[in-house]
Amino acid sequence: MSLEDLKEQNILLPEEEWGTHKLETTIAEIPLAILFLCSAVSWFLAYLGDGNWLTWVSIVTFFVTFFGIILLCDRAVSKQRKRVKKEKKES
Amino acid sequence: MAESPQHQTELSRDLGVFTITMVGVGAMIGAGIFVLTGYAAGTAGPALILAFAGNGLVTFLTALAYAELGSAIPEAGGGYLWVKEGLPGPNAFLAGWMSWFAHSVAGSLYALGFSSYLGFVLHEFGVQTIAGIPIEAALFQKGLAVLIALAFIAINFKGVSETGLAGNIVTVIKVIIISLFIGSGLWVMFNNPVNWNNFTPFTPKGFAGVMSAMGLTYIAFEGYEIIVQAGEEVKNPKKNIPRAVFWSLFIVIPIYILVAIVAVGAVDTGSAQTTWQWLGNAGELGLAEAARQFMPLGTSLLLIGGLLSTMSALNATTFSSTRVSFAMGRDRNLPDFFARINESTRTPYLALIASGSLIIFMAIAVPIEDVAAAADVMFLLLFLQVNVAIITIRRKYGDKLDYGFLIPFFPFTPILAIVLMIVIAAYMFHFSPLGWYVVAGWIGTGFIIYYAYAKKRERAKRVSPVVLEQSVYKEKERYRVLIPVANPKTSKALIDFGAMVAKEKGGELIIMNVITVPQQSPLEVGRQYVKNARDRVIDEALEIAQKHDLPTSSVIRIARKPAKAIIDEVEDRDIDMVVMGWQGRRGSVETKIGSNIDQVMKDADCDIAILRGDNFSKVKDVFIPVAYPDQAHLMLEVGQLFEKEQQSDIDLYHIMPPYIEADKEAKKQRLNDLYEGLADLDVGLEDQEEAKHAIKLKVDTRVVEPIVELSSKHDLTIIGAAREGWFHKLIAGTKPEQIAQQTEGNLILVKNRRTTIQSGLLDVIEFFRSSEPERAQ
Repeated sequence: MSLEDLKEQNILLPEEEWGTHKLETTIAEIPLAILFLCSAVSWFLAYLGDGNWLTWVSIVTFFVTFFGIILLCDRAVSKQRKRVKKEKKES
Repeated sequence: MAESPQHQTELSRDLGVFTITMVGVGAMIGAGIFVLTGYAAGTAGPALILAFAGNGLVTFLTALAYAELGSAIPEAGGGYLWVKEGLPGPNAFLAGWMSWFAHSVAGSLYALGFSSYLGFVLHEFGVQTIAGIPIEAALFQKGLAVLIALAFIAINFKGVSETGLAGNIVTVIKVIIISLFIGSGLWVMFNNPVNWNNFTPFTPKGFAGVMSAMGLTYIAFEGYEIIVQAGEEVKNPKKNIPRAVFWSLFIVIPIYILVAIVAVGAVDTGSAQTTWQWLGNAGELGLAEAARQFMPLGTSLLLIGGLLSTMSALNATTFSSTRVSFAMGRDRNLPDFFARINESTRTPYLALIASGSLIIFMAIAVPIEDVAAAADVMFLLLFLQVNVAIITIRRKYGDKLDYGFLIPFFPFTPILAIVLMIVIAAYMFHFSPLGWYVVAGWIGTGFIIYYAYAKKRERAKRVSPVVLEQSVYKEKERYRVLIPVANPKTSKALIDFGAMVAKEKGGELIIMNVITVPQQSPLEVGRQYVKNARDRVIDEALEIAQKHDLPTSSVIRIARKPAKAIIDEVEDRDIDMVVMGWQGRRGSVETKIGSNIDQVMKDADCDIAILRGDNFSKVKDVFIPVAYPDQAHLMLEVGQLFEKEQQSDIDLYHIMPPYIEADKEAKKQRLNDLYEGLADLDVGLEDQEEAKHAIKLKVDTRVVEPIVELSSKHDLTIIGAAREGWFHKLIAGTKPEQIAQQTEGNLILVKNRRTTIQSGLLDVIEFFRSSEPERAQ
């Protein structure tokens, strides 16, 4: 698949915009990393809890952190569209 | 002199963020959870909860890749196409080959799941044998799976699919049943604290058991792939695809975890057997058996849920496997006949037969748990390839793509996903060596086919459908009349009428044809009918239009539903009036005018004229029944056109009930309001006095019958759209509908831009009223 093919399919950005858009994610990476780590840790703690109180506390923590992760991703989508619009204007 | 006509071809996008999220939720809360929970509990023990939570995390990592690529390359085909674009050599072929197998084998799993559930239902009703075959025998289960698979092959061949309505209802039913299951289970658990002991020991089969259960249930999480596969039909895909992927996971994962908690925690086996062993022994019926214990009407509801889920999942996998094999045939990875489309149903029938055969073969030849394992391993390997592809695509195309979402910590996130999926797939060998052998055999066969056959034939250059943005149009310069045409024989009357309006307004004509494609085929299939539509419909219509010497252009839209395409066009080009034809349904008990027309009348924000009749060129007298000034404006305007162009006489009538006629004050008030209102409209009636002379009065208790009678004495009747409230519409239909059904001659039904038809409540009523799937025009 060549650039020409993608251009033909209207998938590529116009040539004048190449190099004008950043490729860094718009997600807040540090909070995401913390939340993802918390999710993973709570998964392991639930495992270690062997069905006792630690398991249940960890599962609740897992729910909360997972919700946080989804919220961060959702916000990143909106931020990305805004950034692309801004970059288009600037270019 | 008229400008030369311009042609354009466009795809119609139907799905908003809510709908596409529900598509993902519907695909995930489905057969996987109903069929596999029992097996997974038997594999992991109470740590089934962790298997679901762990899958949530692993699947989230791949979902990030789907969000990025789905927004940057929103084409139907999803994973297969990205691997094709991102990876060299046999990878592309293998991605399609594996995807075809994964979806087909998932279909086998759902067919077997369906037959188990139906067998359970029959058993509940005391049926022991059918045609001498015991319902518990493997022969019965396999035979029933073959029959249901054949039924869905036939349904997919016809091009019939779940409508949005049916799909939504099935999803809502599934969610309600699962919620009841969770709710009643939690109730039991909190009222019997001893039940919490069911969770110890938590991991009786150790870490390997949890990993195997993760692998086994992985298939239940792949529903977000459906979101991306529908990419070409999603509105604003850059934003809506990633959001739908994330929110569908957020809804589904907690539900799965709660199902696991309740399935293990609320059951009392009544013996020394642990609940997870008990669930494992029940296999695909584990959830139904659990529901029997603690949920009111539990078994029945779970069986309904299981049957609905397996059927809708079988339907979805039948057409997704067909789509993949069709795409491979089109790309010459498989023989050309895979890409052949049936002319009448527009479905890829040979790809469907091949996929159906694969579904049936796997259902017959392999036990259900190994079928599940094979499908799971194949999906894991497929998603693994997507995670590799995202790295190469980002490196190859970099900032040349318009991303709606970008993966964080790139490329470490996809690498982590790859590692985790390899680990899970490896653990699956633990659970089902046979499943792994089947997968290895399929991939090995794929390699042989690639090097012996496909490599030589593969197209160097693949031209796939253009996903057109629909927002870039030249500035609107004049009044626009849109005329959707389907049949050249009947389009003349529409075009002549449209031209009459456009000429009066100094406007232009846009001739439109909609190519409908059933859901079984990608929208791109419609492109092969563009030439035919242009030659057969558009060119002939343009020839008629050009006689009127007006600026004219044409557009062909490829869509699932004609009405949606028309509404899109109205929005995109800021259309002022739509002129549509209606063939009429005399003698039909159906009171609605037609599903496409109804939807356009309800949702298109412009004036609308619906014409019934073949010849509007010699209209001597026009009959217009007026009831309220606000709806009369367009009726009078249209009437005036005929008066001006064909010197037609206009008869305005007002039907008055006898009780108002008898009350002098009420009569005076009503007529004054009408005369005043009509004079204010400034459409031919100078003042109230002229309105008074123009309008004839007819006293009758009925409304429809006198109009039908007067209509028969005129060449043309012009009526306005309904003004009744939603309740009247619901129970009796509308008066215009009744008039349209009962009159015989030429009829024009008009609706002003933004009438009271549109209201939130009516939308809800319409949602539950509409029952028929949209048909191709």
